[in-house]
Amino acid sequence: MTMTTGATVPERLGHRARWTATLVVTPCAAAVFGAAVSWAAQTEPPKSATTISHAKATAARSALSAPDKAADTRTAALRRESAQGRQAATAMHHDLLALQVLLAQLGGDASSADSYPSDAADTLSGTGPAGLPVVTTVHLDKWPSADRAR
Amino acid sequence: MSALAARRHRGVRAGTLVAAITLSAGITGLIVGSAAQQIAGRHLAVWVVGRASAMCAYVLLVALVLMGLLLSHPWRARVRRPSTAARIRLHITLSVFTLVFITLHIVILATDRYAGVGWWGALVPMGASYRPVAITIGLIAVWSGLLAGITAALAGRLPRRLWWPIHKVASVALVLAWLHSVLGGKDTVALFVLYIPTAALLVVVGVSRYVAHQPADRIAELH
Repeated sequence: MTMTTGATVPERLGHRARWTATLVVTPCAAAVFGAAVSWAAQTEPPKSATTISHAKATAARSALSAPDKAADTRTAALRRESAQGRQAATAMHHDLLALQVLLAQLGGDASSADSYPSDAADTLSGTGPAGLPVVTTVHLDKWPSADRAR
Repeated sequence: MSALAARRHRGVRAGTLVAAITLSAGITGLIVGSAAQQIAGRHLAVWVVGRASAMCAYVLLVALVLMGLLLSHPWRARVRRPSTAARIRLHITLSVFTLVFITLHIVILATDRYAGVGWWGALVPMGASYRPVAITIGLIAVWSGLLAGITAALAGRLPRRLWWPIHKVASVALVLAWLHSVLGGKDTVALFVLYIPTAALLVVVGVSRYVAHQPADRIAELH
């Protein structure tokens, strides 16, 4: 047997064989391609899977920005709490002053309660922590510890 | 009278050729148009075409190798139709179409972001982010296939003992392409329906080609 493949192909093959091969293979290849497209279209991943990378990127961006927002919220809350605490401390300080003045008045009633001039008095009024009214007259010049507390 | 008959014969031949071209083009256009309608509007239409082109290239490659094995098979003389010339032309045409679909597959997957291959991955071994081993195997398969095709294209200009041994590297290309298809895809159904039967068919034909080989055939190959 002799091998006829290849060696003298360009010279021997006629136009008819060329046309026949081309005209047969072209629709056959198209048919295979059409069938492959139908099969590949069935294996197409769902849209959710294809956008997973985009979703991951979005989630990563959200994860990066979420702690900042939470921190901002927490900071604002802490600031509010701090302001409320300062207000409460001021009120309690006023209450303390009032109690000290009352104590001083009670201690000095017997001797010189009426001897203080009215223009030297500093009046404190307000509401205590429990909502009780605190209204009293403080004589700061007669009570050195009141200056320190102020 | 004979001139008139010859003219009529030429006219019939031309008419037949035109009719055959029209029929072939019509069928091809119908199938391609139907396929285009199927994927029109899909969000991964490009990826679908890339995958379909790979599948089509694999089927054409199997047909190409089968035709090559049959061309060199010791029993080829027992089959009269189609003629040897037509078989060789069929082999060449199949190689051209296979190359076209492989090129389409590479270009689409290199340009499609969803595929995760890119031009770097499509041209450089281990450069792809998606299954680099499988894609590298496919890349080597393309190179070896091109080597087989180029040597075959030089068949009329080079002595047979030069191009014929190199042309046998096409079997390596086929094995690598099969591995690329199996490792690159993840459809086990397609694996059993397409890849295993085609591989079995090629193994059977290839083994029969070499088992039926006679010493005289080997001597003839050297000339």
